[in-house]
Amino acid sequence: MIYRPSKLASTRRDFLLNVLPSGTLFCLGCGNLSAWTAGQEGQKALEKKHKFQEDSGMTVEGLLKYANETYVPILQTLANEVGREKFLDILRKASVENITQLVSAMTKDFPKRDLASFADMITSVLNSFPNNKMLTYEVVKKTEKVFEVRVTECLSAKLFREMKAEDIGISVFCYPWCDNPVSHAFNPKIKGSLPKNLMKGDDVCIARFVWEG
Amino acid sequence: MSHENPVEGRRRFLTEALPAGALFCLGCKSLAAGQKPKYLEDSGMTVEEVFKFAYGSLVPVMESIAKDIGREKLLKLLEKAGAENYSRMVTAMAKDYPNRDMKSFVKMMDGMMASTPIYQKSLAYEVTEFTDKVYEAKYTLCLPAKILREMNAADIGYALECSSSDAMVKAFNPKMKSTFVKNMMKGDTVCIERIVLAV
Repeated sequence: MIYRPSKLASTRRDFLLNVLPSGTLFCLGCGNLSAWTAGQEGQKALEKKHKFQEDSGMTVEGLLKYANETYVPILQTLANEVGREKFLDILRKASVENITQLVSAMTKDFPKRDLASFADMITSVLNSFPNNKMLTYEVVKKTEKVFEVRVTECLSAKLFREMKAEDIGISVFCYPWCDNPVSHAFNPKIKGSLPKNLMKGDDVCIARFVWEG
Repeated sequence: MSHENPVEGRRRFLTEALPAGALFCLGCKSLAAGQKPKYLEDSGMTVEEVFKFAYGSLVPVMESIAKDIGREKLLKLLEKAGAENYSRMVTAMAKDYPNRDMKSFVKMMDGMMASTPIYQKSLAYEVTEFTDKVYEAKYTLCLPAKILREMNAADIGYALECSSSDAMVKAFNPKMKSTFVKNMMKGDTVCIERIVLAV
């Protein structure tokens, strides 16, 4: 057996520096820390995650459905209140404002504002979670003048169409992300267009960005 | 080398090889690869991340709309929208409940919580009073309140999530009334929701 030297305070200084702070920790209400004394069970209790931090157990589709079910009915009701066309205008304006802020923040350290840098930004967004699980895409053209992406699967389009809210989906996602708002936020010399759109019922999305500098 | 009976071979071809070939040829790529769509994969997200994702999509848009039409007007619209949506939800959930008493209401809400794990993990509450006329619960954890207050959008959160409480109970029974004695979205340390049935 190995005996370790006692760590009991041998001096007044040791007591003040080591034992007293530990003692106050136990005395002054730090109930969680005192669970240490309860041995392994207590330790497990300490290590147990807060339930907000537990795994949601949701698939990517479940996640997006939950988010949509949280806000699409609200947006639908607002549209009925305000008038659909007027509300969609407001929604587009709000989405453009948000994407402009987002692109500014994302690209503040980008030294170049050419089409290649823009393409890098877009592919980085497409490859990041959860977009990488929600979209299937290929870059069909990438030159100095044209950057074109073809999306063959879009979970948002599927869900918004199922909820009969494709006009809301277009205003919140397609128009800001695949048309002029995103490209102009990066560089007004890049013109965006979306000649085909899954959200509208086309078989694919084609997002095309053209350098007009 | 073995030579099969041609009739037997044809039969095997029709019953075994052709269907398998057809499966590969006729476009069932996912099945052939044994893959499920990638959006059916586990998101790997915690409960808090899911709520942040949902509110993160909604709140910035709401903030921009507030600038456009005025915050007060937006909050009134959201309260109305929230009340309508939750009333619709309760009406649908309660359609098979013949009794509209307090016990049935609590049973229905408990059932909803139990069937939606993410709700269970986003709230902690204890029932502090439960009689034929009164149901009172004290919530000590509320993830929506935490996130929306962190986003400085507690007023939007209250309009969306809390203000509809009375409309929701009235959708079950118009003689019920819900009030918040305390509310975490407004900054209290706990929520106390009191539902009273006027008999």
